[in-house]
Amino acid sequence: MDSRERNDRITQKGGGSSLEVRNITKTFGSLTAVDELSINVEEGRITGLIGPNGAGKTTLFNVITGVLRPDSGKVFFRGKDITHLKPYQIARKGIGRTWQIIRIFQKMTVMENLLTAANLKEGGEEKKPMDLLDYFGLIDDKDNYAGELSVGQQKILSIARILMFDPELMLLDEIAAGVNPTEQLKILDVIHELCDQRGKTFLIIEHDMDVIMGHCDKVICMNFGEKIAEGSVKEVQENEKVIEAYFGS
Amino acid sequence: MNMNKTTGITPAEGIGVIRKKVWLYVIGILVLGLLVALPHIASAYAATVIFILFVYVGYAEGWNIMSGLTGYVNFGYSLFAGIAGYTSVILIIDYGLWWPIAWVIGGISASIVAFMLGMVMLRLRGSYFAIGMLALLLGIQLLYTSKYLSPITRGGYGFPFIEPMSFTAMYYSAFVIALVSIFTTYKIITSRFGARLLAIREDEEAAESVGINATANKITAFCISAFFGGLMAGVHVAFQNYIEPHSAFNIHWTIVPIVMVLLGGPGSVWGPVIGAVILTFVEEFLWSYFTQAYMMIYGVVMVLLVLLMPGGIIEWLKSRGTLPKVRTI
Repeated sequence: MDSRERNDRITQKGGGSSLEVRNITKTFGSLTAVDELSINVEEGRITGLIGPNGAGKTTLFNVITGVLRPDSGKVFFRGKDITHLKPYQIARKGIGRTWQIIRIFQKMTVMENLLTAANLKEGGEEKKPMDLLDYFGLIDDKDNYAGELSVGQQKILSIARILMFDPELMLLDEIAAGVNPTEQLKILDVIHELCDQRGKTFLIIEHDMDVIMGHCDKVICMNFGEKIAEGSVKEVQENEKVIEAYFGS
Repeated sequence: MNMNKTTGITPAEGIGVIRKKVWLYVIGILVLGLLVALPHIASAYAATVIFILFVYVGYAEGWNIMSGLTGYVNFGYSLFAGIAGYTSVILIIDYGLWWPIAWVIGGISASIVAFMLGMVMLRLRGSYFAIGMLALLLGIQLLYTSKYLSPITRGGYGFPFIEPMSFTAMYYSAFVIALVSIFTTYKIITSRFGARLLAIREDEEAAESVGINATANKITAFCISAFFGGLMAGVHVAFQNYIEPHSAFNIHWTIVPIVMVLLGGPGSVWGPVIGAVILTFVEEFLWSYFTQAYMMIYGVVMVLLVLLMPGGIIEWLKSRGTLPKVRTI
């Protein structure tokens, strides 16, 4: 599907707001990591979050998922205020996230990694994780320690793990970085399948511009904790502030 | 290939596995039979050593359920032994309760205390929890000697004499509690609750990000841990025949189970048992022949073991491929 076709489809679907970040500020001492930031992530779409290192992207993820408390501002998910909920409560509301550094449970088996995730339906205990392992090609490794997997497989496992609780919104932090091309393709396929067929929403941080340009419906660019551009891939690509942030003036 | 879908092994391998399993069952039943018959066939000394072993297995598995699985090192564990020991003795002497019921109530009282302490302490991370628990142990030990509680606890004197019960009864009680503690550990480790506890040990923040309520899971494990420590303490105190704050809350009953679990393998089912078996006999040997230097030798051996086998014996055997990497071991 080329991007125009995709945009047409989205216009038809007309996704409402999934996640709304309103005037979030987060400071660490004298450093303002996120500064009065407001963004809107539309339902059923893939939104890319870009920006130079230290722009505050990961801090924003941590604020959304409750790992960090914002100094001011609010976060709404599907219209409900989730600003002061704990990380596990936010996960149970339907927000799954992966981390920039791989944070799977190294000394637990691949299967156990999946079993830790909440909201397993009664009775279907063995089936669902097996389906996921099968789908991601991890079934032969199910009884191996997760730490023994390749980097790419570990990243795939971290996606499989959040899929165990079937979140509506997924925040993926550099999920396609440092993996081989086959695995990267697999990851992107999964994202598209979940988005296009099951209406899941994605907010992804990426440094790989090919990933951003080829797969995102909308792009938000941050620098020094502020939003400097927002719009379609093309609009952001041509935005002077974005070019300046990346290449200097 | 003709593979079994649920286990993923071929028929030929399967027969090998079954043979191994049969042998394990045979050995297991023989050991159990020997332990059941022991008080009637062995010397009083041998039976006493095995009784102490049961006590240690219960203590070690109890510590393991919380600290082995979640990685939250509890340096105040004997606090639960002390509270449960006192509760059971007071119930027996002042209220005339039957021993086993008093032990169970003692275990429950330790659980209740664990719940209340856990609400506060388990919000602390890592070493703060460890040091905090140590401080609480010393504080509560002092409280039991104080004049405020002395109408109930009899202050620093405690209860110098408890009406003795038969050694055989104590032996079988400790045996049953040890078996139940092993079985409970097995059930927890192979359950999803166990997986959540291990996830907390691996990476608590990541665990919360997949929807695990870390604090609630830790508190639950803490209560179960305290229950087993407390339940076994009841039998232990009955064996000692007296109770006073210094011995009941002695940090020895914290350190020894910790060392046993670390040696055998924290977070495993059989690690604490292996650790308890080895160290009970080592302790007995050292104590008999090197009474003066025994704690020192014990310490040196421990340092070496922790340096050479950081994950304990079980993890070491698994990494060498001697044991399969399964959670049931």
